[in-house]
Amino acid sequence: MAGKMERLGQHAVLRYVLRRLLSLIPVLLGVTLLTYALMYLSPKDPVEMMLQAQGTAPSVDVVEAMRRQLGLDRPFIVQYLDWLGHFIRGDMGRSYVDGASVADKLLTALPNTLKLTAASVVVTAVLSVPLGILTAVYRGKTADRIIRFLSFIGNSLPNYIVSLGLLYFFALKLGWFPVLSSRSVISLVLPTLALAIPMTGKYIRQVRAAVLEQLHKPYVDGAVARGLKTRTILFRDVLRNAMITIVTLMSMSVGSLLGGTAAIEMIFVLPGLGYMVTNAVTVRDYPVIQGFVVWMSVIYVVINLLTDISYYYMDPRVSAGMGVE
Amino acid sequence: MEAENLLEISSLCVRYPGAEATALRDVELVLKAGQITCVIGESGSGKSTLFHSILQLPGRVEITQGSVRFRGNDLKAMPKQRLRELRGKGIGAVFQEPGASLDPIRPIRRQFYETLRAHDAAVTVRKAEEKAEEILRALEFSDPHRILKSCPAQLSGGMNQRVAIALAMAPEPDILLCDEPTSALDVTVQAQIVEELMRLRETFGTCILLITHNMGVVAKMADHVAVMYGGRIVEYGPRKDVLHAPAHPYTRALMEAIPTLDGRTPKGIPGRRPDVFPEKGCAFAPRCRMSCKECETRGMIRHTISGDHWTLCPEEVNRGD
Repeated sequence: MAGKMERLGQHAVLRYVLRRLLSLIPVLLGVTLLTYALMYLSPKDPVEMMLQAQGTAPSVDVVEAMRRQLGLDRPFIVQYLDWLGHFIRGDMGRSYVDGASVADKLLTALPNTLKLTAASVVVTAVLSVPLGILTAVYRGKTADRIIRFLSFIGNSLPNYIVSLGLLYFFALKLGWFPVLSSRSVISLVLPTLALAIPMTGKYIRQVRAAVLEQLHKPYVDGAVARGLKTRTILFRDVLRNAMITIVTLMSMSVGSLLGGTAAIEMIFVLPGLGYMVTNAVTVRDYPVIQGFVVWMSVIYVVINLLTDISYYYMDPRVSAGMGVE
Repeated sequence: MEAENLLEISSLCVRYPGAEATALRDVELVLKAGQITCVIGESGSGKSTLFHSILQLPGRVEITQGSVRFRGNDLKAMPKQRLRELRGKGIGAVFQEPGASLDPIRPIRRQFYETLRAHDAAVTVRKAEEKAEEILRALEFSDPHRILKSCPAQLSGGMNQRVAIALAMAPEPDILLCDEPTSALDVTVQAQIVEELMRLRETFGTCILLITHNMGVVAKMADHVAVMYGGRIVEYGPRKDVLHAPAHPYTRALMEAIPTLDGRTPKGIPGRRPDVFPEKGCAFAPRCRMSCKECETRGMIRHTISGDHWTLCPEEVNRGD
């Protein structure tokens, strides 16, 4: 009986995942069409910008020839459908600038972005969850005030300022870390911290608020009235309930980090997706921008999906809503 | 044989932290083993304050005078650790909001385990589940297995309140405090819960303090009734005496306000309950048909009618002279 219920549950989750992945199709169509339209409407012409970047004085003939060669002389919707047709067949096109395949460009940029995202999210979680709990439990006490003051400062600092500060002290003055990145793990430390410090500042407050909200819930009174130890109530009940909120917020951060962090990538010379797309936008490299937009759509849909699936395991109210019970 | 005094409240004055006004004044109440005491009164009369004065959740109420003693031990002087052990095992509680006292996302079997474990480090998950099942069966749950596997978020309000009662009973407390446990539920579930509480008393000999608005519940369950108004117990006595020969004008007014099926129109109590009650004299005097000048300054002393039936109002006593 129990086994059957379990299997039923698994099926429901699977169906749910499939349904959500199908929703990726309209999202992708909408988002890519929208980006295409926006780029088409923007005043700069990719061919002129490319030629300017190469230092050639763009003569009308050359520009016209290149536009024809790239297919930019066709109507907007034809260009889009052409791109879409290739995309469906697995071809993301080639960069206008260097002719490299967009898929390759994405794959080359991805490792740095993944490394930075993973490292900074882990550091943020490891720091902010315990500190957030501490500030909530000792609300109004000295520890709370000190941590909250520091988190306020961290939260207020943009990550590029933190980067410069970290570089100055730890790389230049103390010489503990390299200024320029190499492939070593140690060169990841400063950029990770530059991302994690402001995020930790933000998340300490979020965790504190989530835990405080739970501490005022009547089930805490109920648990105290049943004689449960404070520690049990905090870790078995309060934290589990607060986690639902915290995971939601964290997943959104992961999503935006996976889109690259242009400033950090530039300062620490770790060319990732942020770096790639910033350059692509500057020269109107349509295929690369489109590739990036596709990646971001996939990331957001997948992250949201993973978050929702995690609710399934964290919150019985959600699993009931999926039609499992 | 005289039943043991489990809980003795004497000369208790209580206020809310940070508030000036006294919320309970000179409350005197004894709870005996195996007895059901019902507390009645309008909203704001101090019923829930009394509940919290006994339960002593941190930061809720502040005892300014008098004492609450459990088996002779003053709760106020009790170290935190002992107070924690007392909660649940000595004094259990059921709250008004159905299921609000349960963690919505933890399976109920885990909540039983944690509750039992808090009072006995030797309890294993299996033992706890056996015990939980035993209690649910005793309370005639039709499908204990399913209930234990579920989370409160998956059950109805009535079911959650029944689970909350079962969970409060798990450590077998000597006293069960119930703060209007049925008022948020529909009538059939109310009746079921009343039955269950009665059965608990029979099976476990639990002493129950039940706060309620519902006179039907009082008539069915109570051994003793305490009537509260303006933060005081204005009348106390055996159920029969209080319901059939009420000695305080407020109790009489409450009785007359009960709707009946014989076509008699219930009479509301005239006037409004004031937000702040006077320090001196009878708090009910402004709304009382019998009040006289003295009522507003009179000292509040207990006048015995007979046995352990007493009232704060001298009117009935004088009339009997």
